[in-house]
Amino acid sequence: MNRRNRLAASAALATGVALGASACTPDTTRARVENDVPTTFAHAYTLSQQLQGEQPVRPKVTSTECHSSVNIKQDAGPGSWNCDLAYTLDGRKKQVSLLILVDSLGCYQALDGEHRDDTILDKATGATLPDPKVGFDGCYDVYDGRTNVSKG
Amino acid sequence: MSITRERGAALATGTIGTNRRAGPATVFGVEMSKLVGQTKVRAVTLVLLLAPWVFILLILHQDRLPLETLYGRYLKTTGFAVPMVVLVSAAQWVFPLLAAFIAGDIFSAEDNHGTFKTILTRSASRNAVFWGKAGAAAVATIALTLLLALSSLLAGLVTVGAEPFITVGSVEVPSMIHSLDMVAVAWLSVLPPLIGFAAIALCVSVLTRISVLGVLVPVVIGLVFQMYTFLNAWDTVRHLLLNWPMNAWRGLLDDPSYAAPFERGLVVSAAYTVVFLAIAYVAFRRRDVKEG
Repeated sequence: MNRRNRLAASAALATGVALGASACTPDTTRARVENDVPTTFAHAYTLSQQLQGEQPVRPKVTSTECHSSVNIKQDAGPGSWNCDLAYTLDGRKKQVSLLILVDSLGCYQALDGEHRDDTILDKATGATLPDPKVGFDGCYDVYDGRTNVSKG
Repeated sequence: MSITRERGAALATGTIGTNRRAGPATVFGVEMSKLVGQTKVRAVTLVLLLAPWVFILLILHQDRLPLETLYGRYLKTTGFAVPMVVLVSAAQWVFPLLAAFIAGDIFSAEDNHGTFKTILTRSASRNAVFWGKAGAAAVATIALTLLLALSSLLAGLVTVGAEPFITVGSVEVPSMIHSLDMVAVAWLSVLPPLIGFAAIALCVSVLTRISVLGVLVPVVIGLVFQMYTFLNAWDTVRHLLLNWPMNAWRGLLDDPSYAAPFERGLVVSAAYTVVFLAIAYVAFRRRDVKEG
């Protein structure tokens, strides 16, 4: 094997090792899901009130616990996830369980199974819409280094 | 059309402006005239102009919303959701097809007509022809993409209304200017990978000298990339595919926003563009023009 071939082989090997090593860190991790879902839930809740022409009140999420229903061992990767959120609204404690459908692009569709067909009346357009607080979309940064997860 | 023919003839005989050989700017002008004059380009332009209007009118006449598509749930809430839904859909299939459609036969068409020999030996240098054609392919592809964006935005604002834009993170953007800015940012962010697809098409067009392959191969590559994206396979490989940066706008429009996918996507897009343009350039420079 001449010098050029050795260099090419070394470069290919290094690329393979780098790809293999980084492939061990999935885009969808529990830390990323648990960080993004409560923030977007609070936004969606406020949006629901705004669209109905009500005075918006932002819920304060006090705890979030999410787990993958597909990859239970690793608790990572796209597919179906379940998130349990506890929050306070006007001083009252509330809870919600969300089904999170995560795609391979780092985005998801969140659904409150009990109220998934709830609708609201958009005050501005007069249209009947799916209620954003029981069904909303979100995305998270697949490159952030976040690792903190809930204790559940 | 007659202007195009006259300019083409002038380019072929090297009599545009002065007696000197035509530069890249002249070739660019001629190529743009040729593209604008093509019936197929005019037909595609018409489709891009009308499709968003048909889409939103159909949505408004039905009860259900495409909830599985990002921004689909807001199609009856704000007109700004229309260009976003069109962007989500176009990023999957339309953009690679559009790039291939314009750039895929810009070189091979000369082979089909046997005109390279005349152009390269009598009127313009290879350098000027290559960069003039590459520039025209890029500009035309970008122009058609922005036309789709504009048509989608107008369709949304006219049929649904200019209610506040809603970010990916479900936050209302009260300002009209800010709403327009966010739609513009999202559409502009897909241009680098779009140029990457155009570079692939251009390269195939130069290498194969067959227009059908110039159009088909980039579309098939885009299809394979898209299929891999939907697989639960290595995420790192997915980040290196050219369709990945087409979704980077989601981070720019999130609340809070993040730019890492866009920044890394720029590097990926630049790498594809440089590599395929370089291959095309070298192949074109080495071509034996006596073959025709």
